[in-house]
Amino acid sequence: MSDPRSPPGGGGSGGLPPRLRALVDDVVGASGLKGAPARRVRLDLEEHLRDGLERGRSVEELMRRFGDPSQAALLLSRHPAPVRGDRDPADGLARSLVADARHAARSLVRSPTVSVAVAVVLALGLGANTVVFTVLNELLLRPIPVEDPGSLVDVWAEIPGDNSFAGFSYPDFEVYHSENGVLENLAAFIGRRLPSGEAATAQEVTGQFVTPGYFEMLELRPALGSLSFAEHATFGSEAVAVLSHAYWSETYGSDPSIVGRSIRLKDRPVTVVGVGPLGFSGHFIGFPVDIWLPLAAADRLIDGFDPDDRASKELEMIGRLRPGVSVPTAESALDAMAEELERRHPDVNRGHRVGVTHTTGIDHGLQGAVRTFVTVLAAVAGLVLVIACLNVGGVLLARAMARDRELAVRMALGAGRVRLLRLLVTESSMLVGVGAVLGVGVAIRLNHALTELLRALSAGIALELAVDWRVLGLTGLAALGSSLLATVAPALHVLRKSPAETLRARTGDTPGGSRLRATLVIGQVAVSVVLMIATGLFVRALVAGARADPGFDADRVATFALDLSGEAGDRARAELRRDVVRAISRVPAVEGVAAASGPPVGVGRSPASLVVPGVIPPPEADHYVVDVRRVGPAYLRVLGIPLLSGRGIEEDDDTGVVAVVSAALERRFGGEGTLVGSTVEVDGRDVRVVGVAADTRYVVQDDTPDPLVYLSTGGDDASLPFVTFRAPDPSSVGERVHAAVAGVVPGYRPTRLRTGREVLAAALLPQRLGAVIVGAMGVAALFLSGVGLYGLVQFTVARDMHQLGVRLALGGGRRELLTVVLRKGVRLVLIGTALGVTAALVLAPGLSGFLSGVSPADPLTYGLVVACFGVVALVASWLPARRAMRIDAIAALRSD
Amino acid sequence: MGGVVDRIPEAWMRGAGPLAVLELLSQREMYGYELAEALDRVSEGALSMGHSTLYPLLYNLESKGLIRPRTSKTESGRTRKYYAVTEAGRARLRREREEWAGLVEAMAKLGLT
Repeated sequence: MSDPRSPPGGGGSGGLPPRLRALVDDVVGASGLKGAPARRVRLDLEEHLRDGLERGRSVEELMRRFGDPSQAALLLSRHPAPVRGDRDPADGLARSLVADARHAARSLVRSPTVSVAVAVVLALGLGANTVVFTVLNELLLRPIPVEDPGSLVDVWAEIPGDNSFAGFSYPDFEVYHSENGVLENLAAFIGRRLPSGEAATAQEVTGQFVTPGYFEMLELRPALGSLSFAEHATFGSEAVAVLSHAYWSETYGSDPSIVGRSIRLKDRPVTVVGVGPLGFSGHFIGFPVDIWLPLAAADRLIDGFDPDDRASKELEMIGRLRPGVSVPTAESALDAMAEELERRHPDVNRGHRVGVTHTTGIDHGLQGAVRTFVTVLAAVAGLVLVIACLNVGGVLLARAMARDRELAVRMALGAGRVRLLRLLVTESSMLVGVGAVLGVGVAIRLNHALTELLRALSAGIALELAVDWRVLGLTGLAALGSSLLATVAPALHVLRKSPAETLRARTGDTPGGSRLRATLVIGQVAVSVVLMIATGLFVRALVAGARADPGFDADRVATFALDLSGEAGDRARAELRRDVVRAISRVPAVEGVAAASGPPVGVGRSPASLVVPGVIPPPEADHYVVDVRRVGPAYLRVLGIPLLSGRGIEEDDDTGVVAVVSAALERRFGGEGTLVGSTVEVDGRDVRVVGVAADTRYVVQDDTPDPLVYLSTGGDDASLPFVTFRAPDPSSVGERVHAAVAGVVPGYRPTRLRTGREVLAAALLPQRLGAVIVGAMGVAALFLSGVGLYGLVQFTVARDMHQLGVRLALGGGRRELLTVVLRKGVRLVLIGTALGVTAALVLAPGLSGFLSGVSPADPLTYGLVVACFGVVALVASWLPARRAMRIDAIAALRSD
Repeated sequence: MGGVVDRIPEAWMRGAGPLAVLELLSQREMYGYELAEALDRVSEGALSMGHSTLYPLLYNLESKGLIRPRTSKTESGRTRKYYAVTEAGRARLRREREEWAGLVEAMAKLGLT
């Protein structure tokens, strides 16, 4: 309070005997008056009492004639002393806000344990949300750091009916670049991992090959040297490079003499001509580029890249709209060009269409998945925050209930409900404020850990998770919302209250308040149950995915990438690859070796068109799209994929292209036993089907196996960059395998060997990330609702001490008390769990995209979560129940 | 008034208290303690109010502009606040006197004398 003890000008209360001073203190204190009116009242009362003393009245007489101090306080609060020269109302509001803040701070300090616990709870909730906001900011909000990002567009190719990657050939790009009238500029690019440095110590870097106008289009300025590839636009000209600022500072220690120096990429000399601007690592978020090179160098540095081949559609495009041109206009103009290209080159451009979208930093094919991921993340974090707020609301409500008499007296004395609400909001805001500051601290640490986790998982994703003003703004909004949400319950309680009823009541509790608190606990339990079920489902999907039969011998195979692009000519490469296969097969313990176009499983697809005679293609298309795997001889045997009919792909198939189809493909397009011996059309080429293989889970996120075609190479196995071998313990023979390859390939640089299990684990990365993040939040939620329940039961025991004492005094057993207390907690958890399970049953199907092999209504998960909450209910109720059992009947009866 | 009852009940005091204070202060300005004692003495205890009740009443009248405080020094050097009736207070007093007289007259007609 701001009541002055020694007011200026009035001689103070020094001249009054202590009892009279105490009388004045009581009256002014209980009146609730503050500031100038309080000072005036104090002065007047002191003056009055001094006048009485001067007139010879005794202290006793003055006190008797003064009347009932509480009556005085009540009247004073209704008619506070008018004060002349009052400050303006805004000043008054500011002062009363300060007074509220002081009052709130005092009441928080009075129960430090509860306050700290609440702040920690909020820090967890707000911290989790800040992390999610950071991810959201990085992925969806923060514009890419270039000039006028709003006019940049992604120009992408698509084949209707096929959701996989399609690109542009270089000749196509030249047409779009020179003939379109809607884009100010258009650039093409292609990314590749490249070994950098001397052969023996080479490190992989991410390279991006771009057409000359790329940096000019983005309007970027170099940190050093030049960003222009204009002089290196002709295929065959000297290879040059621009380093990203981050790569330059990490690898070259920001050495300014780097420009003009020669570095080695893929064992070839490349001259550095410049360093990109600080903060720019390419226009894709999460996939930072280390080095940019002119596309004109791609034919030497990318295996199989041929700028003249119209069928090689590997380029992507980014452009800048001409002023005044809209995205739909640009799309229809470019799509018309695609139709024209299809007319001119029907063999390689059949069905190709062009889409245009604003550049967001996320590949258009990934945008849906990214949005789903961020939405799930935000929903989960939001739920944790809701639990935290309900928890804090419970604590504030308990406090409000404990102070009911104080609040009722204040209300009876005329303190408005608005004022009381403001006091409650101030209290919760202070708690939320402390929680938010701690939460941001927690988030910065978590962001760091998450960045490290992503790096450790070596998924090729690197996110810059930084807390900036947008994140702080969102956290601020969340904190504001939290503060209001946390105040709802106590505010309702205060607003419903009639002061007279409370003052008459024996204790501070009312049935309405108890119900409200119980509702809060039920809410927390319900939300936590939903989160825990989501966690359980993710973990189950992870386990199911790891255990599921992938359709090949994951334990007995290992695979690695073999880059032979340094060898001149397809023939030489094919020959060398065959030598490699032979060399590895001679390594002891190796049971078989085969080359293929991809690793055994993966998240990406290699689509091809398929026409099966007699099977009608889908509407508006003249073919189906299926996944194709080009494989060398013995591939199916090496991977342990059983043949169901016909034969596999063998050495003899070198002379022509044959196919083995998966059982799923045969079921879908022909029916069992119909395709072996028939001829189908794959990518416009007739191919004879020689066998049917058992299904494998090529893309492990899917429950159902995809139709898959294994194609022989027809003797051209130059483009089979993955080697897979079979051995009882494949990782133990890795070194000998690499040594065998080194004996055949001059200047061989071993790449990372991954066992079948490791390949599967990498393919399960989305589930792992989901399980880790949702799991952490689920555990936090379980903890929070446990604490909330404990708090409620504890509070109830304290409140019902008298009633419990009566029960004991009337001969009730202590066991009976235990049952009474336990029953209350368990009942709330039962209701909350039932609500949570119902909500989960409704919501979980929305997660099914992440839950391969697990039903969204998985009974085991639901059962375990319910059991888990049963245990929490028992523990959280048993601790306070123990206290109830130990009470002394007499003391309890007296306690009221 | 006076002598018949020990003390006027609270319900009556709500109406009578402000009128009595205005009446006394209209005769001369007084400070708080003096006013409390005067009420006690003149009404022979019937209108005596707990001193704690007096101050809110004075604040109420002051805030309505019916009385006005004036500060002056006592002989002992302390400051003391004297209250006097304002013009608005006098007008209110005239009106309430008439109302009071009307009430008493009406009561008398009922036989309550």
